[in-house]
Amino acid sequence: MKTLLADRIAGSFLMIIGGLAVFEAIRLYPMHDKGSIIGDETFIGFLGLALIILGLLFVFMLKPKEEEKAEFPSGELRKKILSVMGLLFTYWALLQVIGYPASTFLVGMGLFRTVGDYGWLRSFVYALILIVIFYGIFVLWLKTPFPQPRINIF
Amino acid sequence: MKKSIVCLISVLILALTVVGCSSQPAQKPTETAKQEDPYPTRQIELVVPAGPGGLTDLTARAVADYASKKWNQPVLVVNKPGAGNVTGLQYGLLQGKPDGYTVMADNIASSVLMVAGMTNPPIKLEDRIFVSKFVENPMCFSVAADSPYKDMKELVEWIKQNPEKLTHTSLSKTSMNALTAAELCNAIGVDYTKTQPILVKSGSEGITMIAGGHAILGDQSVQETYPLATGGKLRVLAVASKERSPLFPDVPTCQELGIDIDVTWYGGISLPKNTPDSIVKKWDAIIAEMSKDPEFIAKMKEIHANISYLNTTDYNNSINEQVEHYTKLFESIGVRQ
Amino acid sequence: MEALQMLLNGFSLALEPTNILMAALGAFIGTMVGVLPGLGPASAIAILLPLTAVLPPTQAIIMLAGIYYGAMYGGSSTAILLNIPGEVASVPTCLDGYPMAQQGRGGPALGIAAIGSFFAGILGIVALTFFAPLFADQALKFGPPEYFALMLLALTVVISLGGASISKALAMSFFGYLLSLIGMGTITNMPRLTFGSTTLWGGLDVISIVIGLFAISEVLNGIEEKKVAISMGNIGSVFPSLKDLRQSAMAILRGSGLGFIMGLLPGCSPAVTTFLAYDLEKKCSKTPERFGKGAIEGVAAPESANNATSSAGFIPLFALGIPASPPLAVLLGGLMIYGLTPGPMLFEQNGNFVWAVIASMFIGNVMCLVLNLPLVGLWAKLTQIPYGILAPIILLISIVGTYTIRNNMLDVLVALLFGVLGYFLNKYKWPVVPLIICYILGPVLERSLIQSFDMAFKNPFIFVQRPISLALIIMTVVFVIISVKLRRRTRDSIVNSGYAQE
Repeated sequence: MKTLLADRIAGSFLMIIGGLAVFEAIRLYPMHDKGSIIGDETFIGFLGLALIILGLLFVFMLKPKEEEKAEFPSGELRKKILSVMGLLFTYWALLQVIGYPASTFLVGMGLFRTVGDYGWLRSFVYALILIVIFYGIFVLWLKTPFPQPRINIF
Repeated sequence: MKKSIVCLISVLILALTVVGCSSQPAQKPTETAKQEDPYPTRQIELVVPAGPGGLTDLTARAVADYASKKWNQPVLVVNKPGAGNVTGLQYGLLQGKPDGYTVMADNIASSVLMVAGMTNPPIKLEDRIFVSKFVENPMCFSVAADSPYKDMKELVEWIKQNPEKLTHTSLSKTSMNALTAAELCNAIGVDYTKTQPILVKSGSEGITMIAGGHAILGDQSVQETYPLATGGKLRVLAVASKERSPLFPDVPTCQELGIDIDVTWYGGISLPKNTPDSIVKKWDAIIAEMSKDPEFIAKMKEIHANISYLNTTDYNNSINEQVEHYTKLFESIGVRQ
Repeated sequence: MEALQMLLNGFSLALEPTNILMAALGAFIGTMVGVLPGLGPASAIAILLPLTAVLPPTQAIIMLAGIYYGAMYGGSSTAILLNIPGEVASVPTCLDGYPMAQQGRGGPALGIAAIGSFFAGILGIVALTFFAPLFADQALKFGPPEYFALMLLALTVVISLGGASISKALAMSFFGYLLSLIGMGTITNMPRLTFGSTTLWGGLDVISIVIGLFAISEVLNGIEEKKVAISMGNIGSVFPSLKDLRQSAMAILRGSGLGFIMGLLPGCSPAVTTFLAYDLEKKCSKTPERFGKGAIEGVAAPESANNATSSAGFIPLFALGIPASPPLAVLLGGLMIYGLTPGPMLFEQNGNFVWAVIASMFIGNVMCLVLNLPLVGLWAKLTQIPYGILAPIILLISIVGTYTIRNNMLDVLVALLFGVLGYFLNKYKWPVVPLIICYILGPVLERSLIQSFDMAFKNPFIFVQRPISLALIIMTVVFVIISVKLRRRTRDSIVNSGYAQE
């Protein structure tokens, strides 16, 4: 993707964020205490306006100094990056369903497999070692109060 | 060769895990457990709706310490700060299962003041069972050491004449600080809405502003006021509770001075609603016992907290009375949202 | 010289073999916990407080002091070697520390961080020993208008750390500022920018954003570059060369001085001072274009500032009983459990004990320095672990780390989202540092502005009527002018660069 196009897309995002902020400021305005200069909405409103203006600048006015292309991976590598991102979000969801040890083990195995290109058996062993150590540090030693799993596996 | 050993080991481990999984549910108590079931049989989470270091946290840690020794089960303090108690309350009371293994370190600000200050509070009184109160921390009035007001009488005279010049600090418009200042104004016949509250993020930020002379009237708790007061940076004029505070034995109470107010911060233990009665009784019993334990008394003294035990019935009665009184007060000064 | 006599007594107590052992143990455990992202000194002390409870008071406090310094130091090693700041205060350390590590100079970077921290720590403790009450009184004079002016001054950092495009830097700053306002409104205490979600009531946590933007997006980059390991070569000797030392001597001095002064102010966190120290160093440097590319001063200054701020924080804590930062608030809790009441009476009531604690801080600092030398071998091994193993571990630890900040799953989601966002921002050279700076400064700026108007009964001139805030505002203007000039000069000498991020 060309940087100019990317900047324009970013500019539109900025306008959307700015618009949301202005919207929120308008919602908050009735709560403004008449006696005070600043209310909860003041900063939000100004920041929203500033973001809209900057967004407009990026879309219509500003041009990057040099036209350079941001390189994105393709093929296998793209698949790898996407699956790592996917695994992380899955981890977030799984953690609340099957608990810390089980989800860490599964996602850890997946990550070793995708990032390191190790075979399933090796990933399994690594993940097992990892979870034993992590269990020792975070659960037994630091006593982290992890979310209560909905399904108890182990 | 090497590979086959790895294979063997992993199969073994897998087998063990499976065995572990299948045996787990059998050990768990069934859902239709009777009330006489032993409690506690596993780790208890004591939820603190604030970060580590404050009075709610320190007292909760003392409770956790005592209960875990007594019951021989770990009691883990879980800090859930954020959104003025709301994050912790949501976690402990709304999401926590009513099985006695999620316990809330509740206080006046997270219960009474939230309900009195909001028409539609996110967490209501009915969302929890108030078990018992065990700690108290009276509010007090202070001024900077170099302030011209030598005693409460002078200060009150000045406030009566210049209510619009009175600045004081507060965590929010319906916090303990606002309450303390508003009660004072009501008692001396001054319109509270004329005064200027300065919103601060923490009690220690507020009391530092008083000591630095950036605001006039300190309306913090005795525990928050104590360090700067003993250091000669603050002058404590009066304590807002019925009895004198052990931290300031020489400072008169407001009632001694003819100002009829009684404002005290307190903390207690709450459980999510629908928690079995037997567990509520067990907690009340252990708190009652704890309040008389010399080791616990010594510990509370070190963190400058007053032990003040109220059993379940008395605690609930006092809360209901307070909610009524403070709701009226907040409505009268126009800060109820 | 009564203080010196008392201090020597304190040393004789702190230097007992068991006590030294406790200091070493504390420093070691602290370093280990501090290495984990998200676990800074505050959580380290809070988590380990119960462990120290079994010890007698003096030993326990000595151990806590060791943990405090160790955890702070641990955060900078991951910042330098892995580009993972364990806490916000370590972000500036990444900016030059990580490029140094990539160039195979990770050893000297770690070394200078340890030396700078040690020097700053000692400076802070010396000042605590002799001048605590004097400094503490000055800190009280700092009111809301002064904090507002100070935050303005700190905001100027955005101009010089914002990378090549000022409009991008501004956009990121405003976005960061807006993010920081999510949660309960300062005045009404009603939710704002939460768009109906109650989970957002508590706001976002800056550490989860930092871990997302730095740690997670850095790992994604590493995977893409098909990294085999962080560094195949050696990380170099931990002892900085004479040239390195000469280059960073002034940086350490300036960083310590700045960090110390700002550390006296309750409410001025190390995160603010490290950014300011880094920026100041860049302004003072004759070759500002080296910054962001492995300038050793860029590691020395923020690291010394960090430790100076943290050590100076003991002054308002001991002299007034005011904790200046979350770790100190937890430490205060620890002190109180052992029957110490911080405040001006502390020295009179608990004389021997207090001096032992101060002496043990000296020892804690020395321990961190001593401990770090053998650990460097371990760190060197760390950078040679195959990336396929290290990357998953970093990701999984980052996630637990973000969770432990507030025991909240929202923070984990935020870290992941910002990890993905950071990946794209990197591609298009949008600077992330302004976002973080504004996120830290934003809320204080708003609150102190509101407080200033309230305490002055809406008089807008209060900022120029008070001498300290006036001086700070003048400094802000001067800083803006220097920064703009510096930008021009740097732009001439290097054509394209986003020196905020590699």
